[in-house]
Amino acid sequence: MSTRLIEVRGAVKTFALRRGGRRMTALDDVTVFLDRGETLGVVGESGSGKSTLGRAILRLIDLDSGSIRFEGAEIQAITQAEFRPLRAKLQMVFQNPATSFNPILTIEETLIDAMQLTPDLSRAEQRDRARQLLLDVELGDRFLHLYPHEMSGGQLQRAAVARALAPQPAMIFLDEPTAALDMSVRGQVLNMLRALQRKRDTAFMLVSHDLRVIRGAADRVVVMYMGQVVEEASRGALFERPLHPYTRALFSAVSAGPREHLKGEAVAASGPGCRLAGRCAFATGGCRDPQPLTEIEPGRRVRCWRALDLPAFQKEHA
Amino acid sequence: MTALLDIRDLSVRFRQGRQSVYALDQVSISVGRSERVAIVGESGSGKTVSSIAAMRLLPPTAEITSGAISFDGEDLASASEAQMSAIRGRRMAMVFQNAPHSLNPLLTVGRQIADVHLRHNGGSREQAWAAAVAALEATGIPDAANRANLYAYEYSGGMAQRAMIAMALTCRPDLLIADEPTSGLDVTIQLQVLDLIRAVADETGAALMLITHEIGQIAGLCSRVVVMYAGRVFEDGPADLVLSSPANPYTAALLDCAEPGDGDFPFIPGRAPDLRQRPSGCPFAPRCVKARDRCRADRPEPRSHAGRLVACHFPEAP
Amino acid sequence: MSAVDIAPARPSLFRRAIDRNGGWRVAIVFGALAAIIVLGLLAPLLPLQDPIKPNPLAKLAAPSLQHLFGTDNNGMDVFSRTIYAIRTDFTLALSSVLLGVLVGVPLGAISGYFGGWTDAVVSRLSEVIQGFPQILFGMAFIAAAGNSLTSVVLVVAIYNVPVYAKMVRSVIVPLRDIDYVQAAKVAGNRPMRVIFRHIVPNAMTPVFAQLPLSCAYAVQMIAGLSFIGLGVPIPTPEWGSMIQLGANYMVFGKWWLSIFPGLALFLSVWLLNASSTILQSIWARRT
Repeated sequence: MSTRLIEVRGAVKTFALRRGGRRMTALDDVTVFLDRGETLGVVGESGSGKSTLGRAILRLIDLDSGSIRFEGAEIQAITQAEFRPLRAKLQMVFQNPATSFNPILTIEETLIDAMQLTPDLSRAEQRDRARQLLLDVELGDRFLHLYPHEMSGGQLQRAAVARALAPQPAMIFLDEPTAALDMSVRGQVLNMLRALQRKRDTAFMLVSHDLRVIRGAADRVVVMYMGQVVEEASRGALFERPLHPYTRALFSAVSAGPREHLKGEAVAASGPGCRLAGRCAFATGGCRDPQPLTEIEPGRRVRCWRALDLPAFQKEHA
Repeated sequence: MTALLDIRDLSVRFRQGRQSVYALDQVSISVGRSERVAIVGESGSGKTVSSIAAMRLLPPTAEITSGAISFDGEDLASASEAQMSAIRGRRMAMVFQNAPHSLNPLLTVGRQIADVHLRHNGGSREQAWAAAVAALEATGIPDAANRANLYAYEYSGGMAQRAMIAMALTCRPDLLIADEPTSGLDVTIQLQVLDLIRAVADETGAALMLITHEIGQIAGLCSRVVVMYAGRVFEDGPADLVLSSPANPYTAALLDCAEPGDGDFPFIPGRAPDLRQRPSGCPFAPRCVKARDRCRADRPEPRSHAGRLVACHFPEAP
Repeated sequence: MSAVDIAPARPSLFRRAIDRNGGWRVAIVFGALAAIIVLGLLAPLLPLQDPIKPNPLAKLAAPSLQHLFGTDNNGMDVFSRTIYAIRTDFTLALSSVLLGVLVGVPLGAISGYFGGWTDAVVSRLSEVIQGFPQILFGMAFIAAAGNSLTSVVLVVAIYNVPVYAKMVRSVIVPLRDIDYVQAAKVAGNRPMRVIFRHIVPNAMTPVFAQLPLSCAYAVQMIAGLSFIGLGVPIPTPEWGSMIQLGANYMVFGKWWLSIFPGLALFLSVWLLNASSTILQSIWARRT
């Protein structure tokens, strides 16, 4: 078995809401993997843990427990200094282009800053490379000398992808890359992403709550809710037959079929049972028991004991 | 029949040092009694400015350079602050986006709603408080009596939005303006909030002006759609007509972006014009696939065409 | 194709200053400030009376054609002393405040970024320094370090360090979590580079705002020290000391000893403040 690119096992992370206050569980025993060159879609809403997962992989935060392996080697338990050279391989695109660029640096300066982990480049070579990176994301030379506030959201987000590509990473984590953009420009960023998927063997972990984005770009999908993975499937299988009630509710919100909406709000777990039970239309007494992530067929996992018994999800009214 | 809210040829300009931003350029929008209108546009379209202008809540840097606003026959532009105070809240109410940040952080939520009640309906403090709790209950907030004692930051996004709606409805206004009421909320909560707005409009017979960039929210809630771009009205007509067969190329392109099929994601190349200059001709011309010389020279005015108003020299034939 | 060198046409700093503040204001503020500084620099070359030569025959003379600002209790010409004091006050105040900034800003940045015990140590030290009454602190320091102008500068500098450290620390804390700082970490920047290349330059606005005010306080502190014999030696012209000394004579109607250096100090601080506002307005690149 070839080594997976990234393996997250049993990741646990909690945050204190206020000093010494209640703790909120962002990641609750999450196990997820990413293969070379594949694009993993991570679907979830606020509180799902999707952003925390990416930040943990990039060591922007540290897990409470669990392991993260990159190319077989443990990266969670090492120091920041030991991790630094590996940063070249693990890059990120942030959600809000307006705040993800240092306002005092030009795009060229930011791109060159992102090359510091790949040394042995002369100044001239760095500038050349910056220009090439912008070309890869369909931005012309003139953007090199612009400051972030002189660019539009769509342009900045493409520059953000260029920055992520600068150190030639093996994986890029994209946290809702189009959510902050106007509808008419999202497509440009997404098309560019697809072109990169075809041209390079960089792996992508693409977080989005928007199923349209996931359908267009992901090979495999993981659905998260309240810090847990609730469903995992290939893109085709998930879109054809969503199983978990939460996944079904997400699909229902954007399809024309009979409504399967969740009531109430997402609340922290109050017992060992299913986190969705309080909101789920299909909940029964058995949902109070712990729900393991069960593999129902190769590559397909669901965290719901009733999922297969439920009536099939309908995309349109019959 | 006189419209309830009648914005006619309104132009608004913001001063920024020595420059001006021309946010609205001769915009006409009207909302009839109990009518539900969606104002659709992207950032910079002027949709929010229109609603804030209607409430006479423009900041001091803004200037109405032409046009008129009237509410139920009464001219708002020349109304005194006292007259406006009587209208705001009681006859015309507004719900803002990002509710936890739009509510007063220093007062309990219950107190804020009670204050509105007292201001417009009089009565005692106890009565006002009871009315506030009842309003919170009516919007589906569980355990309203206790929740009324909490502060805005203690509310989740969805609950805070409900509280805002409760506050807006305290006086059963004739017109409810909702500015992106679901932005930032989870998809599953968005549906709940929209359901609530619909229920409220059904029950009180209030007119609704829903400002949104999410086209999917319109169907089923609004009977009319106004599409705005760069401070101009581009299309204005019955929702099912405009959404199924758009006449303005921008509307058509935007709808494409909202419902991508398989294959490449549609997008509109370029970016919205810089509103610090007043463009000659149609503001969409630089990005429009159908643009011709006439479009660049001559600004199209909204004209009747195929059952709606369109501002375009070459609208799609029905 | 040297397209890389195409830089967009942007207004120069000068142009930006004028656009955001008005041409007249920029001209008057910087012009006046420059005039004062030049006046101070050229003082020895100007036809002024000897600022430190006592003249027992002309003590406490009211302003006249011969002594434009009158004379003080030693018969020294107040006009000449006011002008010579430009050198003393600008040099001492600016150098001590700038030294305080140079030490305070990095300390605040580091303690704000790392938190933990660095933050605790810097905070406690700041509290101690700021808790000292100015004069006592000055006396203690100068007693230990010796009575010289360098000591004066150091005392005032040390007193300013906690001011800037706290200020920068409070701006740094929210900036730690902002996306572009996280992005800088992802790019491989080590903590010091993250702090000084990415965070601090974005945290400087309140520092610029505070600088002129610190200069005013510095002059006050120096005056206080000079008054008790520490700091600026007696005959050296220095506005703060002149004002304090002259205060005793106000009661007797001899207003010119204090008022003229007072006006000079007020004008200088006001101009420093105004120029700092203009500088702040052009620091932000956004139009």
